[in-house]
Amino acid sequence: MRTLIIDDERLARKELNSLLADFTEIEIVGEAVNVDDAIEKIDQLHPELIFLDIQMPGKTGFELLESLDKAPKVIFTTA
Amino acid sequence: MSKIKIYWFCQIVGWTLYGFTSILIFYFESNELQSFDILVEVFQILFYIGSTHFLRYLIKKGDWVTIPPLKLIPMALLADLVLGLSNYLFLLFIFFISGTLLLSAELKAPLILFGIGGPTLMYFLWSLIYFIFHYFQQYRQSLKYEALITETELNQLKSQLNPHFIFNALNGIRALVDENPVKSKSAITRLSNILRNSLLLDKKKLISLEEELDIVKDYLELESIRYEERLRIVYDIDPKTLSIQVPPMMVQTLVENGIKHGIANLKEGGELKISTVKNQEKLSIFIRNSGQYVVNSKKEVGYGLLNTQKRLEILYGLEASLKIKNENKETVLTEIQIPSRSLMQTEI
Repeated sequence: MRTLIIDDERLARKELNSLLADFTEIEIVGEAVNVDDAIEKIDQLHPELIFLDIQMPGKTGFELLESLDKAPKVIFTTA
Repeated sequence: MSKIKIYWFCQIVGWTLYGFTSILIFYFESNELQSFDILVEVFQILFYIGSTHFLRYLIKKGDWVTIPPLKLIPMALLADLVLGLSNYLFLLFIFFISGTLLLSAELKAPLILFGIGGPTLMYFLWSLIYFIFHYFQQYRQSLKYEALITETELNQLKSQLNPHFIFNALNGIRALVDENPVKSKSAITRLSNILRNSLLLDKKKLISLEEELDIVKDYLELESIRYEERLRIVYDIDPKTLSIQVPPMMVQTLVENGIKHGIANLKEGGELKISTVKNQEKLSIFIRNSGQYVVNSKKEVGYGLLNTQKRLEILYGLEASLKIKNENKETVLTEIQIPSRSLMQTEI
């Protein structure tokens, strides 16, 4: 499953990457560091699943979902 | 209505009502009323107002409200009796001046007893009302104060042990373990420092600025693991300020605010600068963070600030201040001023 990780913290993305490495059905196609970046990458990479942080600089994860016409499956990641 | 207005209102209305009642009783008993009787009653009212006002002066000057009841009751009774006696003498004096004093008629034991006892009873009632009012007010005041203290303590605990922060820190450290074991070890030490402080500090009223800054440094070190190059920290600490006593977790709360509501919301991150200066009798702490302060944009901002403001007010009264404003288009400035002398000295 094509997967995109969206989180502003590098270490959080890294950790999620390594946790997801055990799941062969998940294929990480890219990472985004904020909402604008995520909109662009979703457009380019067409992920079927996103791991989405809520608190990010600029816009929140909720605002990302509102701005998408067709949202992929979403798993929120938050502390 | 202010306290002094209530006092004068009660004095004038109360004694006037008393005077009217006395005249009415006199009228119904003797079925006649001369202007002289009314004049005597007016003098009586004025004397009552004046003499109870003098009693109030004594009560205030001697701080009678703080005297324990067992000691206070005989004191108040004695004062009431002396005033009752002087009231009686005053009445005799008026009769004497007006030439209506009939010593043979007045100087009879039952009349003297009645003449002194009546006013004494009135003074006793007056003292009773006065003290009940003040005890009631003191009680309300202390309840209010206790409620405020408890609320502040609760808020303090909330700001000290922020579970969200601990989760974030632990997650950050977990990711760091592979990449930089040395740094992650030091991060665990710092986290344990923070946990220890949060358990110890709420018992203390004041700590030295140095101790407070140690907490802030631990906290900022952990936050920079999370934000990495997005969080740039600058310290400009005047060594003379380090020994000054400050309320625990105050700088920490404001720094946390600056990151949470300022730098965390900026894509490129920003700078957090802490500076301290001692001038004359004041300690000034400046916390500058990138971002913009929008008044009442989020309730949380007001909450943290309000809490700090309340604590400063309880500890220092009007001598301390907390201000937050946009210094320019990129920087928010939070400024605290507190007296630099130790609080213990002012209390003694």
